[in-house]
Amino acid sequence: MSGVLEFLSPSGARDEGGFHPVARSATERLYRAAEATFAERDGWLVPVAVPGEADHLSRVGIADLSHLRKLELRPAPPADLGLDGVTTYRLSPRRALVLYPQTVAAQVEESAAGAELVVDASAAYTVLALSGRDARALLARLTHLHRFPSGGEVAHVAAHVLPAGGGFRILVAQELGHYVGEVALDCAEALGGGLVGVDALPAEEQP
Amino acid sequence: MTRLAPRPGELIDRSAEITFAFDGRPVRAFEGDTIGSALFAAGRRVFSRSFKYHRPRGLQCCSGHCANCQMTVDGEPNVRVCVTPAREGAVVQGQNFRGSLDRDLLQVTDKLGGPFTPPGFYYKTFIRPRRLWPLYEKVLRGVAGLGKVDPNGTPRRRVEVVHEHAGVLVIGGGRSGLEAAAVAAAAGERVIVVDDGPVVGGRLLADPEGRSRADELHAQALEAGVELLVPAVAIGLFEQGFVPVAHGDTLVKIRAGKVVVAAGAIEQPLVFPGNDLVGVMLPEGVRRLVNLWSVKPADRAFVVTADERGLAAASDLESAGVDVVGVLDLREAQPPNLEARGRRGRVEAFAVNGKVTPCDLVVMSGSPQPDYKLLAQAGARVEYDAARGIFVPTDLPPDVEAVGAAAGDVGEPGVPLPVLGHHGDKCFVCFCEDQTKKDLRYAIEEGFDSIELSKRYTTVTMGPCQGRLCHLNSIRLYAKTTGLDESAIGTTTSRPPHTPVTLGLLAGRPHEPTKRTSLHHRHEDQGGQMMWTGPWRRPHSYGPDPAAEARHVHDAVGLIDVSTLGKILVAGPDAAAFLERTYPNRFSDLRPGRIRYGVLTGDAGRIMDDGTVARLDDETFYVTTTSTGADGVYQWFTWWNAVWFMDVRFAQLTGAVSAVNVAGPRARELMQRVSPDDFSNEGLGYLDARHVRVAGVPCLALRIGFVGELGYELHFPSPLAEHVWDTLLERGRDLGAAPFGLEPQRILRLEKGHVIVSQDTDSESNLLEAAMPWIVKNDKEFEWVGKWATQEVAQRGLRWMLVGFESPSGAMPVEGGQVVVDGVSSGRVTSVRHSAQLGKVIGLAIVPHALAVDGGRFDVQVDGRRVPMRVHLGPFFDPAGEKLRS
Repeated sequence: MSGVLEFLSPSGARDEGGFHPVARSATERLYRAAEATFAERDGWLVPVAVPGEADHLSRVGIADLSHLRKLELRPAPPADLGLDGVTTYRLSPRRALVLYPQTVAAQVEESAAGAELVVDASAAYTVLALSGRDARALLARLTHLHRFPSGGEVAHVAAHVLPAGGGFRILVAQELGHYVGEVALDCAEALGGGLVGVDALPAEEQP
Repeated sequence: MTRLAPRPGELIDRSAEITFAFDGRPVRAFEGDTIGSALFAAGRRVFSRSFKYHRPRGLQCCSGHCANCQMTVDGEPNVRVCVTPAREGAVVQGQNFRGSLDRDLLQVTDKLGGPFTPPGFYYKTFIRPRRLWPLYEKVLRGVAGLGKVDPNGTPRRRVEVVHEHAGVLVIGGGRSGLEAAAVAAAAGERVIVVDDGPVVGGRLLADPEGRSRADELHAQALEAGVELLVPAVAIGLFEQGFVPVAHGDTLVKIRAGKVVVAAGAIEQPLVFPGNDLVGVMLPEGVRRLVNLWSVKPADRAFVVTADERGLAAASDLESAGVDVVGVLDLREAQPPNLEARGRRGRVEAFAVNGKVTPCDLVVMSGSPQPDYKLLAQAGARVEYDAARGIFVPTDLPPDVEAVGAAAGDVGEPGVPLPVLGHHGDKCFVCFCEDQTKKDLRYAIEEGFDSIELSKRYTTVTMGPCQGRLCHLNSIRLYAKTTGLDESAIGTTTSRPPHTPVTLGLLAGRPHEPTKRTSLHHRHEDQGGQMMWTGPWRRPHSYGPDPAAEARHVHDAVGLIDVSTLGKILVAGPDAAAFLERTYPNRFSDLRPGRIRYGVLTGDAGRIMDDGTVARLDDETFYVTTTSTGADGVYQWFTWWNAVWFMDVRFAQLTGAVSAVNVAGPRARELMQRVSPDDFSNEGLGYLDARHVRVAGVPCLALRIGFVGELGYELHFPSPLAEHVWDTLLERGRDLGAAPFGLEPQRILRLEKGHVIVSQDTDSESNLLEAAMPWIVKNDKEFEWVGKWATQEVAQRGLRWMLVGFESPSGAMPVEGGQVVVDGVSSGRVTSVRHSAQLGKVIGLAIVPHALAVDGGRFDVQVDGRRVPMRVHLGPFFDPAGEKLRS
């Protein structure tokens, strides 16, 4: 994005003057502690693999998809944008959050251009993907929410939960990302699960 | 051993032996046993000591209703072992005794304590001399009570909290509950059945003729897709179908569209002398021992019953080889004198009108009472059915249903008892709290003739059984004694928990929501000593000497993470007009690319927050707030716009945007190393806002200076914070670039006399008395929030003023310390620090307005003595602001 709100966009960072900016998720340290392998993708340091992730995924795995791009649109578009891999989530009747991968950024941003207010919210949310047969059980340990997508309290803080394939995505304010990640991991471990890399997610849950 | 030969329908698996320890000795049990059944089978008869008199108590209900079997299991006190499954390696101990469970030295209180412990004794005895109360209290607490919690103990078990949602929740897995569940499941609902177990079936389980029906219903329920939560206890029934359930170490919070209460009935004891002796049991307890765990309860039994239940128990006892030496059916005759007699707390005989029959078991059965407590919690009315002598629930709230015995279907009417008029003192009404018939009458004579008052005075129904075994009998006793009927006496209020649960389970997992900036871990890496500021964690300082960090900012260049500042985007055609209405100062004339300080007031003119407002273009403003004010200001804006309905939108950017303040005389030099943009006064002057690129990252640079030195506040996407921070430190190493924490910042801002809202202001502070009259623009086109109130303050005259002060003596007051004028408390110190840069103690204080002149004097209480202070108006450091503008 450009214009007066460019300073909100992680995607506005560029290699220049010998600098190599890399964006990091709020949960990076949790993945480092789990000895995750990281790769740079779309300007972000993304945990792509975690030791033991196959075992975790047989119960419940937690992947970090914070590098997904996010736009907040006002008013909310009348319908989904209709692009592959794009999720349009209505925060309210007049606000929508669009999650999308870098590959379709141009189309999404073009579609959104007519909105009264377009805010790049990519930096605003930590996105945790819950995957595996106990994803629902893990979610039940974190929140009273049970119909998705919906917003409410997750681990005692405000968050949004979206369905994704057979799993779920939790969107929480970036500054609470590490905390919610810790709580989710604690509960997942009690179920025999743990952290997983983005590449370990089933195809239908990949960003 | 009293284990019987294998019986059809028994729950135990004799091929699977397990061993647990009781008071250090091994006890053998079978899979399917409870700790209580295994101990009983091993010969144990005394299971607990009573709360007050230390009377021995044995198994009574075997259903988890009474408190007679409470023991300490694996360190957890007050566990009802009659319903706690035996598990390999468990460590079980008795509780509330001195000596041993069988020979408790404190039983002396049963012989001697009565006269000293009438109802309400703590208001009567042990009150004089008053100086001895601590001793009395210590003794009483040591003598009375239940199990002990280790205050220094660590949590032994992990507890979980799980949320579930169901179309229908059935509380009680007996016949009626399972039938209702199967019907609801067949209709397509998600149905959960909660039962205290050990398996579903309820009373059918302990009935040889009902066991097959229980199995059938169980199978039908599973086939219909019913989910069973067993053993589990519903703690309460709240609005909108919310039912927390204790399921082992998991608190299951169930929200159901409809709740069906099928909690069954509770067998009521009879009231006669010796009714608490070990060996006096309720029919269901006896039947469970015989039919579920194949345990022979006794050799010789006497049955005294007011209904069919006692007779059914007699039949089961005979089938188990017990000699039933007498059956007294109270429906046929009600002899005036009944008494259980015993030695050392154990029953040895039962006497009817003086005719003594030796026995080692007395089965007593009063009329069963519907278990309506959860229904009452949900809002149902409870009415007395005089014909049947029971209380029944009526007027159920929407989406709550009662079925089976809980709804009042408890079979044929029994005989309303308790049996009164017998000799002897120890006719127990409340077993948990050791309250006798005599105690309750005593309370009535003292004027506590309301059942609710009696509950509080005598504590009857307030024990661990939560009135299950004493509520009805206490009401009946009150009715009989006062001459009123039970309907007039009424019931006491039913409150959760319906069944006691541990506080640990209620508390759930320990969660402490924490907001972390994107630099949090960098601060820890760099030795930051983290502290709480509201919900945030921030570095207090990076070493032992915050003053040195402050000096470094004056001398070189420092970096502070100010990401916690609230950041709100205000955008739209009416954005400027909106800010004109919400702030006292003017924003319509703020040029794009410029910044202005703003203070928000409430309707009453009280200061609520402050920050900066940068105009990015004609219709876009970037507002910062205090760290703790971000959410409040956002709500404030949206609330007012719902009133004014202006064409303006807000976006909460606080977490999305990180902010770092680069401050110090070498700040510009550092910025030029990491950015191609112009950071000179011409390129980015004081109070300018510009888009720049720093280390390849798009930033909004604000030229402001909270800490009094040349400074640039950089705002940029949070995920890039570590990159920007690391780059600034690395490229500025030879310039002395170093992080500084919150404490050095507080010193620096105080040197400038800058206010921290909510520290230097309070809920009464207004703009005029906080020395900010310059910010008030009453000639604006729009009325601003708080204008009227601020004008009122001006009219009534200023009473207080926030001023700076110095401590000539060097004495350091505490923040909050009293300002004293003419011996009268006249204000307080709001902030105070020692400034190494200035070499003196400086601060801010709220003082009487008359003292708000340069050089004015007042005293502050320091260590109990008055120390003179001198008023200093304006900044202490760089009063002309030359450094900020340099």
